[in-house]
Amino acid sequence: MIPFTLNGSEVFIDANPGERLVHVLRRFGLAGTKEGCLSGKCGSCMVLLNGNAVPSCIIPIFQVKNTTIMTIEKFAETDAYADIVEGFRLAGVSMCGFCNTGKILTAHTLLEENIKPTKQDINNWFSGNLCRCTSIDDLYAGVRQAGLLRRKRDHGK
Amino acid sequence: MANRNSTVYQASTIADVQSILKNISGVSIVAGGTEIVRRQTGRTLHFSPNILPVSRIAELTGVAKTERYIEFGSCITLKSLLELGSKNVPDILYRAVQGIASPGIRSLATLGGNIAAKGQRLCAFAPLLALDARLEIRTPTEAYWIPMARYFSNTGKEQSKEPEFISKIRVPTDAWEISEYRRIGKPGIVTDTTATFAFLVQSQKNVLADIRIAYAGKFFFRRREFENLMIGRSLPLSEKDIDYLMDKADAYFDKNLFPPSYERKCLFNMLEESLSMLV
Repeated sequence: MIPFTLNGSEVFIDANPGERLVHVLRRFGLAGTKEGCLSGKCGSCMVLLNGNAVPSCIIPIFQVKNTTIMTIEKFAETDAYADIVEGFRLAGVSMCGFCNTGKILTAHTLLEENIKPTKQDINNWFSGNLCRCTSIDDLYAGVRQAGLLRRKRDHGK
Repeated sequence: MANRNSTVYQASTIADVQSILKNISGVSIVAGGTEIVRRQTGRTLHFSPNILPVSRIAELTGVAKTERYIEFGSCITLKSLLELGSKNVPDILYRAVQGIASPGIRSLATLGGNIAAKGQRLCAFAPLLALDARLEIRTPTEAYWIPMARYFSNTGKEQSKEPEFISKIRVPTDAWEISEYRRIGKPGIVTDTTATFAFLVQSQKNVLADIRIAYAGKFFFRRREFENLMIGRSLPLSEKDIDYLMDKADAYFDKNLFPPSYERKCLFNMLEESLSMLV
């Protein structure tokens, strides 16, 4: 049995050690994390592992022992999520439902490290996300807009 | 092959790892696991029957810095290495790590895993080889230091009879006037044509005091004899010097091991371009 914290709850899973985290999450009914390339290149299976956005398809389940996983379902309850979605909406970033998990969680991790990212930072951080539904210029604007909303919220506290 | 009968062992210290390696045969050590997983596209990942994850052992994730070198635990993630900042990490290594995969993968992948990956040598290999990195190797009964260039071999014979693992990577922090890193192949991902090239130069009073040239792809090369041909030459080099060195390079970079190919051509182009920086 492998213990880990999933969306704030202690869980245990009896799984084949070679099972990928993205597939295990489905067993918990968490469908927001999508299966894509299974090689960590597309970002559709992104989750927050100990606060870092990582592709869950390249994480064998035995590696998550005693870690904290947050999926998009739980993240959607946070203010940080609201800022990002609003920032993306204002900038006209399309949200196709397949890549948005990766885009939102990557934007969150980026803004945690750097609240005012440059275009180069955004390019670098989104190098692990494949997205055909939005333009890169909209994405730059969306991430910056989200950063602005987050700054405003942080100052308001 | 991983199945329901696969056993995952747990270790919280280096001593635990040594003890497991001593008592259980055929244990596969897994650090970040990104390189092992990258090669597999099936629904279930395949590992050996006995797996020992080591990426969260605190002793293997530390960093120590002295005046002359920086010592990384082999399981330091590439993300943590970058977080040390470009002032604390040799420039060429920092740039190489910056170009590896995406931030998500860098937060899982480890430096030790990057250099120990079998087959295609990955991006930190050439810079570490050029920097004369040394590895601390642990067997079930002892620990010893060995230069990286001696530990690895192009024929894949680095596996000794005893099970062992890399516990520390010591990288000298000498200052280099020219620190050139090149990567060929598709950016961000590793393919069969991915290769890296490192070129380091130190001069004193217009004399070439030290030069390091390393290449890593399907094979890796570092020829001290070739570097010695250049050390002591006056700077700037002349075009004649470069022609002479390029002729010599052909002999030093073994044609039997590294036959004429696109990669060999790339290596020679990168070498010529780097030497031209000294003209």
